[in-house]
Amino acid sequence: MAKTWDAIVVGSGITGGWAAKELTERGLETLVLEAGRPISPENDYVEHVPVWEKKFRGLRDSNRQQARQPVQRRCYACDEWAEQFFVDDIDNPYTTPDDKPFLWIRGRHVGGRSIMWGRQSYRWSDLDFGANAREGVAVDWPIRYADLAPWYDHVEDFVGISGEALGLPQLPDSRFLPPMPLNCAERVVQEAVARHFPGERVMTIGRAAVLTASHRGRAACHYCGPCHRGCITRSYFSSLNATLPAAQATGKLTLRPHSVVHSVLYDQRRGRATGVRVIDARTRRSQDFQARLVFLCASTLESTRILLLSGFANASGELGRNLMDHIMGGGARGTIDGQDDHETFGQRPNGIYVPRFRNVNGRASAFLRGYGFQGGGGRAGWSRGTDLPGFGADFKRALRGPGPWRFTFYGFGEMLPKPENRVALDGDKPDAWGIPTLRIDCAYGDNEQALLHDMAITGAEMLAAAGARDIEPFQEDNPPGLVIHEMGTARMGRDARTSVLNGWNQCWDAPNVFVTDGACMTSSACQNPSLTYMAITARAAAHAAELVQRREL
Amino acid sequence: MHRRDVLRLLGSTAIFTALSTNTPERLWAIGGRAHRSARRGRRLFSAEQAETVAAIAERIIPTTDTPGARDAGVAAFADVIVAERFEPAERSRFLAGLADVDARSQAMHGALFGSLDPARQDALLQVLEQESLEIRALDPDAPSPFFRQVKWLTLYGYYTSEIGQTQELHAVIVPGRYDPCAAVGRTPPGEG
Repeated sequence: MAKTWDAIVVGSGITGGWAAKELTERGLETLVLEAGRPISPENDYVEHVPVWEKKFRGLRDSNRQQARQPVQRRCYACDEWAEQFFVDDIDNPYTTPDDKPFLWIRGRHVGGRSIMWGRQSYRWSDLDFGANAREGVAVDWPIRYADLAPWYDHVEDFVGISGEALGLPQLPDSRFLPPMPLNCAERVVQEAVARHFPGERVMTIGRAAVLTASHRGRAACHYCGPCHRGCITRSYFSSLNATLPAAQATGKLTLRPHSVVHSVLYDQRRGRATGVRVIDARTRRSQDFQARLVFLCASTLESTRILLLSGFANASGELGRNLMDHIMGGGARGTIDGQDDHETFGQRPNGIYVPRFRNVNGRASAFLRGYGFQGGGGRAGWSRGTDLPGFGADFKRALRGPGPWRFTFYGFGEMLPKPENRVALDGDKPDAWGIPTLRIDCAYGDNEQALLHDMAITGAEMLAAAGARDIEPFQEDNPPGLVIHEMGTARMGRDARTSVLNGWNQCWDAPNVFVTDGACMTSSACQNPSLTYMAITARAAAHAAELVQRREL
Repeated sequence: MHRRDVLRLLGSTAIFTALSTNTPERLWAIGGRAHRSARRGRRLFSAEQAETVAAIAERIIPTTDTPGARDAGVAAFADVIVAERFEPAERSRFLAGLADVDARSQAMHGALFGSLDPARQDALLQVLEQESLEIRALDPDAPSPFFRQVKWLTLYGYYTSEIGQTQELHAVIVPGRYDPCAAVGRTPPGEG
């Protein structure tokens, strides 16, 4: 008879790693199924490969990328070093309406996108969890900050988040490792923001899952810069660097790569899942695995795709609906004069952060919700030379030194949940494993565009306050998906008639199926979501283990 | 983390140089593969064209107290980029511009650009740069004229070469620390 696992976790990325760690540490025999290949840090991490050893010197093989990664190439991190961490778009197709592009940026390998993620880590607050209820938007979150606060503590103790405590209600402080420092130009802007917008705006260093001190066997950052290519010293958090080794250490983990999960096996009579159906990525053979618990941590849209293929979890009709991303790319840049005698040394893998200040503390705006700014300052390098007149020995000498200090505010805003932003199965377009793929129908609305416009204004205001010159406000036109904060489509809620998951991330239709990746989100806030995914996953896994212990599952 | 911007900013200071002390064998193996694949790539430039590109590049970034663009292999880099990365229209413009340099050189001095003395080379390049600046001044969105193309290829090829990174920029692959306000010149300067 086939083995019955205590738990199956689908996906080995940032949430799958946490589910594996929490379940195995509570004694559950856990099988982690990963669709992609194993990653060996010693062979696959390439962060120290010098630029001159790359054929295109970092400019990328555009012919190859156009042929095999026409979507993935839109991501800054899909570079000549790290493109191996992004999927082949021909093997992994999806469709959109012609007038609604959506960029679905994916990694399929052990570690998932936690290998290439941006590492910015911010708590959400009740400004976020209470927003839908306050404004009558979508449905209410079934949890509040108090439910998640101990789980933020729990994951932060393990992950290691560097940052500065500010005591802001809209952006609760994490348990911080020492902050990375702001550079000279950033300090100038920070002081100007504090002076001109007291009590409203504050600029701080980004809160990042990058170690500023050795932490739980992982080394402090050595400031080489390109984290998305891997980190041989494990200085940034990823499942591969931290949670999966912890799960492995319990002796309860089995990790099976090359295992494409097709669907969750569902016993309609009992209203329970019994396991999952896997297609072996290499042999294309189908195989079933049995388990008492299933955690879907396959990434927002992959988890929903699996549920859509499973034929349950959609009594509410909300499965696949309310897809969100963030909206990014409003802001301003300018030149900061002075500080000519100073420059930075080392590549700080982090920038500045301006926490949300719109619709906070009772101040109202013409739009709902808000946005935060990331960005930072740095001196121009040799690339400024192309548009500087001249050539020859003097020109070469001038380019040897640094150029002016440039500073950028770059906004990330909240996207409202709307039922018409949705995904559905597209039976006509199977992937390389014969599995139906998604049709994604999603667009930004007026509220998001209003946020983008406001970002350009307030970004320019702050640069003006800092005495910057040549200030350029900007509003980019990025399709949704490119922020790579896609969330929703299997939302949590208080009512089985209007949501897919309950307050513990269990499917209303199958209490032994938990969805704890971005699919579960009921609204999007404006903060980077991964830290919240981790806290939600750890909380749900602890709850699941408790239910098993009490024999309720 | 904030993505494209931070990357842009990260790109504004020193990036890669000296090999990691961690796994030199691995890095050399990867480097060897990259070099082999570069050699396998088709060659677009004839020997004559390559010489003209190398000669132009050397006047833009000449040998001084550090090696210049010729030693850094800028012509070979430009060949790869023009052949495999330029759009067809960009490539045609570049090749036509290259032919024009030698044609003007022949007409004025009866020799290919690469055979001229440095003063004559510089004089011709100054004319080309002036024309390029005028085209861009009239229309900032106009496609890059030849001189701007070859200048960009030279700077990119030089500063990302091993010579450019290690001897000119003193870039450090593993800085080991972040100094937010270092005195200029006291630490290795940055990349672009």
